[in-house]
Amino acid sequence: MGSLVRVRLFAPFDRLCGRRDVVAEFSGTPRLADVLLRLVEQHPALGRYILKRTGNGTVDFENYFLACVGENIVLPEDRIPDGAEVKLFVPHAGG
Amino acid sequence: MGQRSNSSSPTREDDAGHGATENFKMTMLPGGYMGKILQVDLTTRRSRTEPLDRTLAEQYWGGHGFGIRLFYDLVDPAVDPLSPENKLMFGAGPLTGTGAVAASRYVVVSKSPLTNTIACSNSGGFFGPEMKFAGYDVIIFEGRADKPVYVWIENDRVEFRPADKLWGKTPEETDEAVRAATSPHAKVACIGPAGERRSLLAGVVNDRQRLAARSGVGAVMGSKNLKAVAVHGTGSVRLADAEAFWFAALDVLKKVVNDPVSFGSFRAYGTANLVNLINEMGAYPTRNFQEEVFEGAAATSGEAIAEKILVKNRACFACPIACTRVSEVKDGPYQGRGEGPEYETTWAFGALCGVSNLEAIARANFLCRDYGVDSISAGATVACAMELYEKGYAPESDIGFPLRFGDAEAMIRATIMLGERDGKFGARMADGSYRLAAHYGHPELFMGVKKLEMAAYSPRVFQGMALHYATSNRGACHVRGNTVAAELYGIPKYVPPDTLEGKEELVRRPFQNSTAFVDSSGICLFTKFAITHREIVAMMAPATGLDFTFDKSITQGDRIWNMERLFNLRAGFTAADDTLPDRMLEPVPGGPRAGSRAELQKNLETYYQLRGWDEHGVPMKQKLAELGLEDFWGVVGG
Repeated sequence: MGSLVRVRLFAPFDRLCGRRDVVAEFSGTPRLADVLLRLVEQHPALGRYILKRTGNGTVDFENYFLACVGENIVLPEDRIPDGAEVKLFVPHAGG
Repeated sequence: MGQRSNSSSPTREDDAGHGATENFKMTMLPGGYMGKILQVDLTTRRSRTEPLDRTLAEQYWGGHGFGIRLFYDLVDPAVDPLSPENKLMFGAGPLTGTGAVAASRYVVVSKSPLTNTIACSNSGGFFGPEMKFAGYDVIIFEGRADKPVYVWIENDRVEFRPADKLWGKTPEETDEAVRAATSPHAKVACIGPAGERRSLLAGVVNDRQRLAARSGVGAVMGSKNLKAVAVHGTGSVRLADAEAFWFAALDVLKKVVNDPVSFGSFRAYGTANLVNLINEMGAYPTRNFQEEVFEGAAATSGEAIAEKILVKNRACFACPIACTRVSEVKDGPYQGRGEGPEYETTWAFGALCGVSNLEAIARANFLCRDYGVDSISAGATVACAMELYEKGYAPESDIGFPLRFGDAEAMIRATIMLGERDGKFGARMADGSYRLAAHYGHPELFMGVKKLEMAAYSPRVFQGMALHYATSNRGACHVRGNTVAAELYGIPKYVPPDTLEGKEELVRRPFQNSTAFVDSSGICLFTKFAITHREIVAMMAPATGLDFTFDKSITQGDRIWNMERLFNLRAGFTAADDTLPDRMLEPVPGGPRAGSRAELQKNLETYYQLRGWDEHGVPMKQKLAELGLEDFWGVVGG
């Protein structure tokens, strides 16, 4: 079964990607890490802001931004169900 | 109905180029700035805008810098601070409202009625960004309204509305009433009852509970019959190079959220995380600076706040740190809820008054918020009153009750008297500890400089703070040259607190000049534990499109410091005012720093030399030329 995940981008990620949302299709049920890596594939400029190179050559994610599904924070290893909307944002107080 | 001025009104003099920026040549600005100065004449109830000049931006950068230069140009230093001729300026930085980390700050500039020096107070929250969204980098209030008014600014529209029904209300009540009458999206800066009564300790309160607290700027606002300013804007801050800006801004964000001080200590325990640290060092002024160790520190620390009364954290605009505490005392005589207490407040009503009852300290903090007074100066004034009482200089018949160190209930009663200007003693306290102590013939019990009370870092232990307190342009302010960062945290590098060597340069360059720069940017000073000047400049250059560099930022901070110095010299201050209370020159009586004292004189001479000032503390010709201020040579002796 494939999954369709929508990523909604809040400032400044929307400005960096030039759009407010991105839809990605996966063959199974992806982890958040898979969704973020797909996002970087589609918008390489985003990589420098959200990916962190670790000492052993693997890829990790920066810790200054949050991802949520509904009102729940999701972490890189969490599975994102089909049809979910992932909100990606910097946890700042707004205006 | 209030009066309204609009762009078609003959009273509005848009782009006239004569007034606030007449000394500067007009050219457009590409980003960061909104490009407009709003001038509001409360006497005539008219307003006008002027374009913000590029040269002013290049030399003074924003916020603090704009305020100081414009104020210097527009106001006679001899002005009576509470007269209509004094001006009150609100200024935001180029990063304010951009979304850069903690870029929430705005400054309030005036001539201080407390100190008679230049005043520049600073606050976070949401008001500063909203000024920018409405289209203004600076708002200047001048004159005096014949009756209490509030000013409602919504983008280009400026209205003067009656404030008779707001007079007497607390800042929270005022905020609520003004937003109900204007817009739920409005952000409000106002005064409390203390500002209305022209208490020289009154601040300007924005976003219900945050104060541009020091130097009595709220009394200036009260003297103008200006109860509140409400602002709402639908614009945004343009960025000259958005991609480069965000790259720099997210780099800063990463550093801040991974920093053990900015994001660790301040987030977990707020500013009061310092209580135990400073007390353990033996540098925590106690009982009006008579001692330097407080036996009740642990009970009144950030840790105790977190355990006993903390409800949640609160953040300013674009801030991930959220150092603000929301606390609540649920029952008993000191019930209340609100922001704080911050480190300085915890100290002023705690150690300085000898009070170790945390709930009472929280109550005093809420009272200061409701009256709209500076909690540092208010607590210090109560402490001074306690010493005057205990030494028999201020009789109980004047006060009305015994006012002893350690008596929480008496501390609360005295704070209420101060806020209410209740009776002669309350009126004397409302004007600060210098005037109170002087009235009783003992000005030596005033613990401050230039009539501004010192904060919670002993200058007998922190030699950097001793020199900074003595030379700070607004009096004994702790934030504009807080060398404790170096003398305790080792930022930018560790310098032992008790050494004298190198303190002159430490105070001058990485702290006083640097803070003047940071306060011009719009960024909160608390980010400075995690980032440097270079990173702030790296955001400002792409935000504004101006050729801002690290080296220029150093010169810019120096320029501001010297402009303030020139203002103060013209207002009558001399090198003799760069001093400390005699008590600070005497040895600490006990504790881990017993015997330590402020060694001011040697450092002061070298400090003047490094600043390029003569032995009278007057900037020399070469220094002024270096800063592009050669035109100011000769405005004072030297």
